[in-house]
Amino acid sequence: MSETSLSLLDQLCFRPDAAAWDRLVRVYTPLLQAWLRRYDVLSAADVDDLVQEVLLTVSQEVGRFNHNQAPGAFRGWLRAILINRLRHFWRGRDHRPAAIGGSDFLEQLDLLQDDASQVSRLWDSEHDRQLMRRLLDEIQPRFAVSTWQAFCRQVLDGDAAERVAEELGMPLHSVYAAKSRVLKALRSAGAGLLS
Amino acid sequence: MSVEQLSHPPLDRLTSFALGKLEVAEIDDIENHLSRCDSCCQTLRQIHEDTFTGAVRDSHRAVPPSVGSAPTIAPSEIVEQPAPPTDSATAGFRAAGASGPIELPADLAQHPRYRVQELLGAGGMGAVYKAEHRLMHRTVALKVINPELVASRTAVERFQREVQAAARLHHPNIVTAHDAEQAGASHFLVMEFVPGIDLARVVAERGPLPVAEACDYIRQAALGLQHAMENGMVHRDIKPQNLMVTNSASGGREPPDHAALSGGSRFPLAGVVKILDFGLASLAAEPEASEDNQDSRNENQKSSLTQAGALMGTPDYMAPEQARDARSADIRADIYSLGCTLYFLLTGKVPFPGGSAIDKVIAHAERKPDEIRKLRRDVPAGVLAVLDQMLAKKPEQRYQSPAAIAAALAPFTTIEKHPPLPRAVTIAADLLMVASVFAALVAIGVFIWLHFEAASLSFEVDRELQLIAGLHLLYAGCIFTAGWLMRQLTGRFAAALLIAVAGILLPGVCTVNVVMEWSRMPRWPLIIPLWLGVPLCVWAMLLLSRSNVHATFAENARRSGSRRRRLAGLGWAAACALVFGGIVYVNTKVLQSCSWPCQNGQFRSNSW
Repeated sequence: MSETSLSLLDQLCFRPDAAAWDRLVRVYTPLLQAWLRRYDVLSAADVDDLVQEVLLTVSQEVGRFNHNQAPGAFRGWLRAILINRLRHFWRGRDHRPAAIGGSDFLEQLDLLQDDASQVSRLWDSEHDRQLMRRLLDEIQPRFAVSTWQAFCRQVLDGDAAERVAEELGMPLHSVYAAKSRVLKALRSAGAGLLS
Repeated sequence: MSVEQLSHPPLDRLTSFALGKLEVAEIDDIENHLSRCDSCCQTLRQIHEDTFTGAVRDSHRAVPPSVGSAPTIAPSEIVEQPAPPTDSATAGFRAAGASGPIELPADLAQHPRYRVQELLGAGGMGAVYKAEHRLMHRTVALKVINPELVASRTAVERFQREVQAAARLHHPNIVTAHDAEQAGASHFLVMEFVPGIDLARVVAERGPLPVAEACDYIRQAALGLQHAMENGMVHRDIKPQNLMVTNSASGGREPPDHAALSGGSRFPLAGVVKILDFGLASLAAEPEASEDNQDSRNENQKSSLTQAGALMGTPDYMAPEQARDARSADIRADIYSLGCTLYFLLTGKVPFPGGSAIDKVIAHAERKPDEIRKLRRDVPAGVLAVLDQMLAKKPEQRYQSPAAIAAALAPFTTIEKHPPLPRAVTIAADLLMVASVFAALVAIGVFIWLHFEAASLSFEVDRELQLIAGLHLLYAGCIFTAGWLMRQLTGRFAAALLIAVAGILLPGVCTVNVVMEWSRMPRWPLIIPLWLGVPLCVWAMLLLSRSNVHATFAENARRSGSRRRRLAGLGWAAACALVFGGIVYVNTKVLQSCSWPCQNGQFRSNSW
């Protein structure tokens, strides 16, 4: 199969080329950007820099990420990198009154670091949601329009297969197979990343 | 038919097929089979989806549809879906920008009376939007209450009760609540729109505030609280994030009110403070757990703490008695919180910055915050006394009404534009600079004279004169820099150091030199300028050591923003010393080398 059928994680680990980097950027930039924009001590330029730094670190360190961990390990690992880069950024920043806004910011980082906190749960759910959306965007071009529609109707809208088959004028088995194929593609693209 | 019966895929394979766990080739096989086998299709219908499939669906539900694709979700679904747990515990953790996950509930977007314009921010209570009344064209702020907070019927009732009470409050220092409304499943509050930013943001941008400005903000907030108290209301969540300050003193929309409120223009530069979210703290402060049966009091307390912590942020501003039992909190708890806010405005830090939420609660009950004097020295003792009383651990030891605080702080809300510098300091600084010019002239005169007369002098005398002139230059540089620093109101320590070196050390060195070489030539008149400067330097040192001068310097240093300018002053002084020292050194060396041939071996005989 084509290169993109490799899971993103495997591609990063075993074939770390420009395509892998592009893919990483495409998939993870929206998540990181949306997340970082919430810290009001960060300017837009800071956010862009930090996204870049985090993704660079991911691409450099991903070889050391242990694949055989519980599901969801990757988003925790990514969160740790993010916290690290943010702390590093904060230390290196020439922020005029040392304590201002800093204690808030550091507190937020502590919260983010705490696995049980609401913030890190928010991170988990945002990660999964954003990743899923990007992966869906990524695999969509590989399927015929009718296949994709059948999948969307069943999985995203929750319609029964018979109804979808009827309305799209497709045989029932193709409708089932469409769902199965797209889910399969989604699973393999996100293998190791999704819980 | 029997053949096909035999080749029915087992249930687990069918399940894997439905969930997309099979390899591509296997999918083809099963699809092939399905095309001929209705019973397997029937079986497939029964298979429930797993969490992965659910996650795929969720990914499309909670986020607005991507660009271009038509919205596939009915508006009602968005509302049913509890909003993602937005920040709560995190002031300054704002909702993402336009592309962020917080979207406008559909019911609100199509509200008949209000047209929503933009998202202003989001906090633990919910998102706040700027909106315009469609008919009246009045700008308001809409606060959509986080659905989690009004999930139960009792919570809704309490919310409406509190908001009704809050709507009775009309005071220039309170953000007026106009209305509580329900649109579909979302509850929202219609409030006065305040153009401005909250005090947490002000401090984040500007650092600790000048004493007078901080006192004026707290005084205004106290006036608002007083009004609330008179109407039987308690806020329960006073913190910098809940105190809005308008951009200008005119208060945006209500100039007449403002004139009445601040009793004249005490602090013309500062805006009007308006207390936000009256009545909303009740949503978070009374956790549902307390309404259930109480199995274990401890457990209950713990959960109420964590819940309050989760909903209201870290208890940085919470009075000790409020942390123990939120319902016991009265206006004096607000006074305590206001005290913590004043502490924050003055120092840029909350009273107990470190540790977990529980640590902070304990600290509020048991410890004293770091002395403000250690963090900045320009806070008048009177303000510290007010603050101490606001932060008393026992409610009965605090001020009993906000009005008393407003009265106590009023004297500290007036300031001059510049901190008053004692006239004597200015004079001393000017005299130091004049004296430096005088000394420099003497030095230059000696150098010129030496230039023409060097041949007629012995090498030693020549060199001594060089040194004396060089020392004059150094002296001039030092006291000039010191005078300049004093005029700049910065680098008090550097100035004192320079004056000490120049005014006492240099005349001393020169005197020793002159006395030792007394026999050879009467050079003492040359050091008169140095000695004339001594009383001036001693006077300047005494002035600099006075506490009011000290405070003025500290205030100015804090105002000018950072240590950078002080460091610049020190750097300047060091550079001057280096330059003048260099001149002396080079001069001596140069003279030494050029006069070498004509000294006929006298060089070694009588070393200086």
